[in-house]
Amino acid sequence: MGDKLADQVNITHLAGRGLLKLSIKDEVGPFKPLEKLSYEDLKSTIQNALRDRLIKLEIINPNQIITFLLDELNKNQSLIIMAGV
Amino acid sequence: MISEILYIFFLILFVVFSGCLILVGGFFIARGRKISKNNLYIAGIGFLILPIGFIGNLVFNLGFLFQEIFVFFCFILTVIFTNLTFHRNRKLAPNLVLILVLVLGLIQLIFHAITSFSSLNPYYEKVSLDVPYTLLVFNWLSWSSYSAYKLLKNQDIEPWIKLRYKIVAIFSFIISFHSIPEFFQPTGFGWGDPGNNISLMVFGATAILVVIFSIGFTFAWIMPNWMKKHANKDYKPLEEKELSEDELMNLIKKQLKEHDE
Repeated sequence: MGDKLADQVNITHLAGRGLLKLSIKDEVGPFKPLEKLSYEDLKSTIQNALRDRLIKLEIINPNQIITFLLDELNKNQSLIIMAGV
Repeated sequence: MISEILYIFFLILFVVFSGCLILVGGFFIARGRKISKNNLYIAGIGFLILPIGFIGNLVFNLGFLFQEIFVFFCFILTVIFTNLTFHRNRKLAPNLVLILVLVLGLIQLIFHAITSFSSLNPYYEKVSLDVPYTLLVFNWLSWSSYSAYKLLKNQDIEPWIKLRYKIVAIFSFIISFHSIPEFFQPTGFGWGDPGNNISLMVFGATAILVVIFSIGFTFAWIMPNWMKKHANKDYKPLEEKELSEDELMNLIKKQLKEHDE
């Protein structure tokens, strides 16, 4: 997901993953481990915290990126379990 | 003599099958608790209760109705697990599958109740509807896993995770056919009766299918480290650098600026 965000925003994959992690921290707090994140946590992260960060970074068309990432989340939702177990 | 030995061998396969399901079920519940995932609890309970039905029928002679009740709950919970894991955002198809499985499962329970409490034996009607019932439950899981795999097979994801998708898809597909041998079960003989070769073969074919499935599922979910390492042998993960929030935001701003220029 971070890699896809990076491709959309035109930053490196390392930066994209970092930006997503920061947004998760903003949304669910610093104490929730990544493996405990749910589909709903990720969805609200994209819709709220990530959107705010994209706006702060003055990214053009943040809504388009958000829609794209929500679609990617839906397509890859099974990774939450398949990679987490 | 050979028939009795084969019967015992097939029974051992059922013991292996039950053992694998108990192992995977227990693992799901433990992991579900650790990572707070309700769908793992659901699958865990489903896998744990199925062996109760088989043990009750085959060991304690509690009958097929007893076994079918546990099969019913296991199948329903398997579909709910599939829906929650792969189709959380979709409404129509997952709910339709769940309703169909519910209806087909209730029909099976009614058929088993008729056989248990009356002199009627609508065997072939029951088996004819058992085939779409099992096909639907496990092909739904198989198709869901395969479809998800197709979407992510070219993504930068550790290969052992992709392998898990493939194993789940393949072994769910295999188990979806386990009710087909029942068509050949001769009426008037017990399931696996060593005194009847066809009945014994039907029992054996089912035992082989379920044991293949359960071993495959055990390896898919409780994947040993050597298997993960083997799957990952050509994979080079992206190096993660620990950056503070300010460092990261400055790096992103710098990269955005460079891109604009």
